[in-house]
Amino acid sequence: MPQDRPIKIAIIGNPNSGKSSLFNALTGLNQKISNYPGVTVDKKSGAITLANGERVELIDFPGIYSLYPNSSDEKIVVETLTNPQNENYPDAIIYVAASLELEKHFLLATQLKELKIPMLLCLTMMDISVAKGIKYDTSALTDYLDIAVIEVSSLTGVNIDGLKYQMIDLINAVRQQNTTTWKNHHKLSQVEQEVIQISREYAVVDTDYQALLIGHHHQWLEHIDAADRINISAKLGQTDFNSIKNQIDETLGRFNLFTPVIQRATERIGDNKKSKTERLDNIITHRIFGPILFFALMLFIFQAIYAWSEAPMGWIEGLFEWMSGWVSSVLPDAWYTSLITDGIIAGLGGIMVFIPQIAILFLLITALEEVGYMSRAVFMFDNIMQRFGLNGRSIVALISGGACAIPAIMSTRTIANWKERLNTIMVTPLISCSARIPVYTVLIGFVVPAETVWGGFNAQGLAFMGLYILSIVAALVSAWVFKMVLKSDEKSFLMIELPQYKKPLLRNVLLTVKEKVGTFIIEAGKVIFVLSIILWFLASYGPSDAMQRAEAESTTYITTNQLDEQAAEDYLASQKLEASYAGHLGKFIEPAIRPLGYDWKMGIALITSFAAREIFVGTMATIYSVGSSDDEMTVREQMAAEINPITGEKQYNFASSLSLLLFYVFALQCLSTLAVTKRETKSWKWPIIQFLYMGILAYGSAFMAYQWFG
Amino acid sequence: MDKNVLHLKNGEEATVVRFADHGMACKLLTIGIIPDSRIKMIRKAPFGGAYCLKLGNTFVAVRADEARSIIIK
Repeated sequence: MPQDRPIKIAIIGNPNSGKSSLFNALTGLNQKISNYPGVTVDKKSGAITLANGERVELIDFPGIYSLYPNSSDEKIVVETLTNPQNENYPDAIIYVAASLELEKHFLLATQLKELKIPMLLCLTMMDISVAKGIKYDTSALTDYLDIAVIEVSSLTGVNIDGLKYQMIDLINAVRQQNTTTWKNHHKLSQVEQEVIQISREYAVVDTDYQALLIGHHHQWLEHIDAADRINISAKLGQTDFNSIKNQIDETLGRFNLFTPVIQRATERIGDNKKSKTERLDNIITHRIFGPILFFALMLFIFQAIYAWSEAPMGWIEGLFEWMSGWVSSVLPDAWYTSLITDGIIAGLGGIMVFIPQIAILFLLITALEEVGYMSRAVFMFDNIMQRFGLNGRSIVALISGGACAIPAIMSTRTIANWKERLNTIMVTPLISCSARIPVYTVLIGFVVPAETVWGGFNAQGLAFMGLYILSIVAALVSAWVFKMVLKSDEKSFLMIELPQYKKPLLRNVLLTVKEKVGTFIIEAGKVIFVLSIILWFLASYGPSDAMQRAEAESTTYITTNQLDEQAAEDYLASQKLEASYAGHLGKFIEPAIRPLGYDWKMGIALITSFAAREIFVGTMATIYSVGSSDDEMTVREQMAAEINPITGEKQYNFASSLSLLLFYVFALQCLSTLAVTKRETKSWKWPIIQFLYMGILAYGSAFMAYQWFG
Repeated sequence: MDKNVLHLKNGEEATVVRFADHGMACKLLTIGIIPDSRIKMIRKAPFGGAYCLKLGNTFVAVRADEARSIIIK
């Protein structure tokens, strides 16, 4: 055991074992998110110092039921534990089990024991089991597993310090390389021994059980290279080894051994009356009330997002305006000042402004998850989702997509079936995200008058809702098409635990929100940072003669019309944008977008929208010489006055505005989303298909709208 | 014909005997649905397709295919 690096302790347990609560209770804010090597599953780790001054690194592994995993999240645990050379291979394990239902948790505990890694068993949710009148004879459990057992409650903090002391003993065991007798919880059969022998020829492992697991999982384990996979398969083919049958025998064998032990160690004082959870579920998952409650909750969440985010969004906008103003006041009037203010600060400001909406959405979703509600939603809607080729778990991604597609796509990792997961990734960006809202706000007024209809409803508000519903319908229909096109023989499962309802732990909720917002800032931020510099260049520079001519003409125009300083500046900016590369690009694509009712100015806005859709508003402001005002209403007034030079009619009439709205509903104008899709699907194929199909939807519907109504 | 979990009415309880499908069995075992354990039908999902079952103190949602593979007595 090397002394120079901190000891790595893995926190492992079933989903809903209270594992993450325990990790949060131990590490608090000292957490960092990184990646497991080669895969896109987030690795959560945190360093803590124990009472003896020892620094240890805790790794919170994804929840898993057994070492026979389903989803990509779960596979990472087996990937790590079957490879002693893996950088995350733990020196010790804290196994977390919810004390309410111990049998279920013991399967994995006995499997982990065979890895011969020093381990300790931590029984969580003590507060709940005590309330339910369940008590354990922990010494009997210690005897059976041959490890220390400690009871804690992350909710009340009871015994968390005791656990930290226990960890010191655990580390001593690591240091002394304690090779005491390792009790076997599974007797290897003849064929299993053959499998072990075969695996050991191709992989360096510490224990027989790791070799056995490699025999089961060699087809997908990353640390087994392609040639060895073929060799192992070929040799296993000559034995009587049947992976599935063996898994069943092994699992049942373990249950048969430990079930009587646990029953003897359990003392039930309470009665077996209908639990609170069962009574709550009578309403929450009720045939009629269940769905009604779900839609009421969604309505509340989206209402809250808009109502609560308004003020903080204003502050963030103000902050970036102030920064931009400050930079231009201290730096000389040069190209780099413009790059910093108009390029970088404006680009980053465009991202940061969405933080409040995203934070509020994840605050509410995480709270629902913590209470135990989200898995009920998965249960209720699984059937409907399945009809569209999705999974009940897709509902979480689709809801999150209402804020931002990036964290939403990343949340699909819990979907075990690849086809269902891919389908969810493909359609999630269709759900109207926060960045579309400013665009909708500007355009909706050209399509729907601000009047009250049907006794009290605001017509524009209804249209807004209509756009959301349109995006949901489009996502479901597209999913159905993908279901028909994508082929897969892989079996699909639901099998989800509906945990006991419990009070949400504020710490857990806040840490998750912090994590999600962090992902958004990093994932979206890095793409938009680069893109806003490119766009700044395109909009600030052009063929040199064109730029000079624009400046000269503007100066003449400004002096003859005696514009004041502000108006002159705005006018010059709009003329320069027209002469810039962006302006040329806009004119270049004009023939392609003419059938949709757009001119080259809208073309520029479409191009700049690729950094993020909401940039549409800012671009329009610059084009219509109101660059100094970021107010959406000012932009709208200018757009409303615009006359199309060819038709002589208003440029933003019903048809062209509807066409533009539809374009923004469907088009995937978000490079960050494409980058995330590429990473999650590990290929360029899917982001390209995603971009194309959404582009065709956008172009097609915009075309039809303009041709019909134009 | 063997009775499976889908034959249970809401609130009815039975004992698991075996599984009709090996592939399903692997998954069901890991979440604690094992032969000789007691299983209770709680309810069908609002839009059908999935069922909520209770094992001991745990509630689990499974699809019809998964439920059908659990043979009971």
